[in-house]
Amino acid sequence: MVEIFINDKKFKVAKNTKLLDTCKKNNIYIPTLCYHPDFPGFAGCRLCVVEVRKKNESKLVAACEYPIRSIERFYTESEMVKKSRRMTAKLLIARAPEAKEILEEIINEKIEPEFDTLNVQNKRCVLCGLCYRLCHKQGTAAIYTAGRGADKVVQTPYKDANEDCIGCGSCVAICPTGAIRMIDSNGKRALWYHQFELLKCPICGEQHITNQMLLYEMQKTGLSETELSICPRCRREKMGQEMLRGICHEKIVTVK
Amino acid sequence: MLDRNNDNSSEEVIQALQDIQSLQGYISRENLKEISRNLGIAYSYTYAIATFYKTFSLKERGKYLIKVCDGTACHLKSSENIVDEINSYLGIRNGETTSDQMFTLEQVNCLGACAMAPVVSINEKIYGNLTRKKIRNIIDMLRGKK
Amino acid sequence: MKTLFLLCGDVGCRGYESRQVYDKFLELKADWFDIKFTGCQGLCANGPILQVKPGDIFYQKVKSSDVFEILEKTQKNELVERLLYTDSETKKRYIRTDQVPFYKKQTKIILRTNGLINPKSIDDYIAMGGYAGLKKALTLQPENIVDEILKSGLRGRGGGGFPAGRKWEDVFNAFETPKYIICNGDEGDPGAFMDRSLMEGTPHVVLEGMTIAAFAVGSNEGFIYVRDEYPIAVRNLQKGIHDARKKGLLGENIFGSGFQFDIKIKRGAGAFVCGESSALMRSIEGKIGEPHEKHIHASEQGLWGKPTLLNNVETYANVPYIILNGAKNYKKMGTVDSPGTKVFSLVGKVRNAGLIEVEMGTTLREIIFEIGGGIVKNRPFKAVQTGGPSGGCIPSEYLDLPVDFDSLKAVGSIMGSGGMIVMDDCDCMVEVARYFTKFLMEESCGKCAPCREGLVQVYRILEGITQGRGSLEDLRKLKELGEYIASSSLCGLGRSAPNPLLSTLRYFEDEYIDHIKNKYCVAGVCKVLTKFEINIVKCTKCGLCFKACPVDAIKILDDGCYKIIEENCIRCGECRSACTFNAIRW
Repeated sequence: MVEIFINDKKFKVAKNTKLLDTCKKNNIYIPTLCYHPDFPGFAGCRLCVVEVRKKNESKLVAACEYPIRSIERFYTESEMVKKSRRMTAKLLIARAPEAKEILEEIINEKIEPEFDTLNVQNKRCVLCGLCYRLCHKQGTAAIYTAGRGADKVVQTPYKDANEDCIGCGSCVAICPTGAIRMIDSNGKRALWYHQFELLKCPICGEQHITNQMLLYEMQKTGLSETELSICPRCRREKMGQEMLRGICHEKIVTVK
Repeated sequence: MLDRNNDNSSEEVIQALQDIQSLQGYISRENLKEISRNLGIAYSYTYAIATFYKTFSLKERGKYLIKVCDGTACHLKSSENIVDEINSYLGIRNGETTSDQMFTLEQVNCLGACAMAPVVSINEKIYGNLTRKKIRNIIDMLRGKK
Repeated sequence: MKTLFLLCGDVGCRGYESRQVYDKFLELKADWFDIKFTGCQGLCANGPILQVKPGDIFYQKVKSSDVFEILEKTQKNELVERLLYTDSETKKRYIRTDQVPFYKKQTKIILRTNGLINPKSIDDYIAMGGYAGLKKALTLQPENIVDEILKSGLRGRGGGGFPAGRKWEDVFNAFETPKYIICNGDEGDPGAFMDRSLMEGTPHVVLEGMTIAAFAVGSNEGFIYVRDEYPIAVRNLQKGIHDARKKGLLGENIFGSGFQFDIKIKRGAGAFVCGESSALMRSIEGKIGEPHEKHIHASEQGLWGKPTLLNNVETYANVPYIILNGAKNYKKMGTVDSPGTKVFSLVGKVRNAGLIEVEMGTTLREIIFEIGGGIVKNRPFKAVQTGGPSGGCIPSEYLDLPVDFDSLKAVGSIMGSGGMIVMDDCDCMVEVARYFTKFLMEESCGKCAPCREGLVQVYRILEGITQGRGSLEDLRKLKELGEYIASSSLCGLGRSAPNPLLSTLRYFEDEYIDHIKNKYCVAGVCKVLTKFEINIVKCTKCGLCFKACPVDAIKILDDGCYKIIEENCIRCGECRSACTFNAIRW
């Protein structure tokens, strides 16, 4: 165990615990953008910076990746921290002006735009990397970055429909700024330059899943096509009814 | 789709891209797909690598690849003038190729021949102490050799 | 004894057609002499360089048409006077290499054999004492080697100057196996070519150093990561590895000791950020070269998560010398905290541009004015840029600064890998900051927001200032952005990225203000803020400017004087570069 001070308050934590985890556990708010507990190790957005104060000097560290190893003093709301956060937010809205409100909410402060807007196509994307990291983590790996530096964009290769994309929309769901467009209409789903056919739920008829998702999940879970083509709502209903009838629901949840 | 490497990478990928590029001068879409398939890497990741590293070109390049050095020494000795001259003389900007597929212009960071700045390399041959007039003459000479 | 001609075959001299000179020698081949095409001999500005042994005669600017005469006169024990080094001030001629002022102040440890051997010949290297360090090392205990490196005080030559011995010790102590050795040859700093020259000129010294390191820390596999722009370095290293294997100096059972070690070459692919250690290792693994937070050292979890020793080319090149001569002797060179020598590529507006090696603690003045021979065309010195894009510009008041890791840091720059770019009064410091910021902006990997977004904004502001659109408010923004990027970025590249900006702001704020308030570029570089004219007092009417002007903006007047027609002038400055009498003013 290591003894540390966060905002002058003493805490005891296990060695090598990440600072952000400690703060979360103790209800100390740290703004985050690119952080996700399922795929750590990125530390790109730098909104979670925290001041480590030593006798003569202070430095900023990214709380999400900072391992606690020795007695140290951390400050999560010092002027140094706020200044850095504010600047990060200002710079990010120069790239993505449409993400302004969301960023203000995250850092809990109004942001005065200071810099000229960059000439980029997507006015919402802040390049936090959650979408493509998730896409790779879940195994579909349809999107990644292209280019580097300020020209970096998230996209499919050659900005073209990628066969690897199953149209699941999990990138849309995880994006904190709503930067990825997915449109479902007339039984079709438009996502990443693809037009996916949406299949109907055999019970209610709602069009909710793409054929590619179905195949992918069948392969991954071993569940049957009928099982998977039932929409989530009907599945819940079905499960409830089965349980009422005394059929154990284990069959559905534990099948791998 | 599922038999990919666990961490989605392969030690060989950069080498493979380099080999293709030195063979064909650029990397085509088909090559990129094939490399991904053979090495078991996601196509999107191979594309990300090919666009992250500056060496790789996804577009076909001209017969003569003019690399204008913009290293510090060259920059101080007005390498921008050389780029400017090529811009106006050949009508191509950084990364572009002339319509007759003769010349491609690329600005590079440092060719390591700083003592004779400003420098360009054309298909690996180094030309040093350049001026606007000299680069024009070199281009004319290469054109003449068609 | 046969006469030996050593002709420089490095990129610089090749650019001056040393290949043709070499071919001429081969064409006139005779029994009484040998000709060797060597690595860099140093004085690139005056290439091609030719040395004659015995006698150590130094010839410069040799052309293929000179070869016949050189052979003829050498046989008769005569000199080719016009090819000797001549001091531009005193007109004094020097015969022997070690008398030439450029070489006199140098101390060659790393470059000892560079330029004296055929880089492709392992026998040449061995004949000059090569691989003796390795042979000795294999008779020692690994911990004693680590100890010797620790005691030598050798600091990493890649930039930061971290004590190499401490890294070695950590990897030695690391518990997990396998362990890897990596040599960082991704010399990305623009204006720097030390590591290229070394890998091309003496590849074996790098291989030898790595092998000693491997034996010391207990590794059997090594990688050299070579910058993609250096195809000759790759070829020479490949040949070196091949020959060393054949001679039993690499591979299984080295020197019959039972120790096994082999080296693979990995070519970079054009990314400056891959000089950063964590990005470099990702690149070797075949990934995108994005750095990550380094709370766990490479010595614990490096390449593929295994203990890894990562040093720069020049650091490894120091190792054979230290092992052979002992830490005590090594420490006699240089300063207390930065022992040994340092190789620099001395370029820019300096007369004797080239590759040099000096003891740490040599002053900037000695380097630039004695070795470098001063500023081209005798213009005033303005600043010297060290450390590449992560470094800073040092003004003339620090010319007497002894160069070592700590002194450079104290004045807002860094040692870096050893690029030293000299600037005169025709170099605009705002433009220099803009240039480096553009470089870094294009080379930023784009992972973390401060570096990716911050540098774009810094660049935009600087570009505005150089184009006459600056305001005093911009200076506040620049300082704020600079401090922010330095404190909040993820990796060392980002954290040092504002150095060119901050160091020029620190020493040359007046120039920024000139651009902003007076719309005037004191160096005559920023086109919108510059107007060229001919100083009739200094003009000799030689016509060089007239010939140089690419847009015919210079006219001859009736009295034979030249005049720049302002409307036609594109402010490229070629007339100023061409004029040898400093008669173009602005």
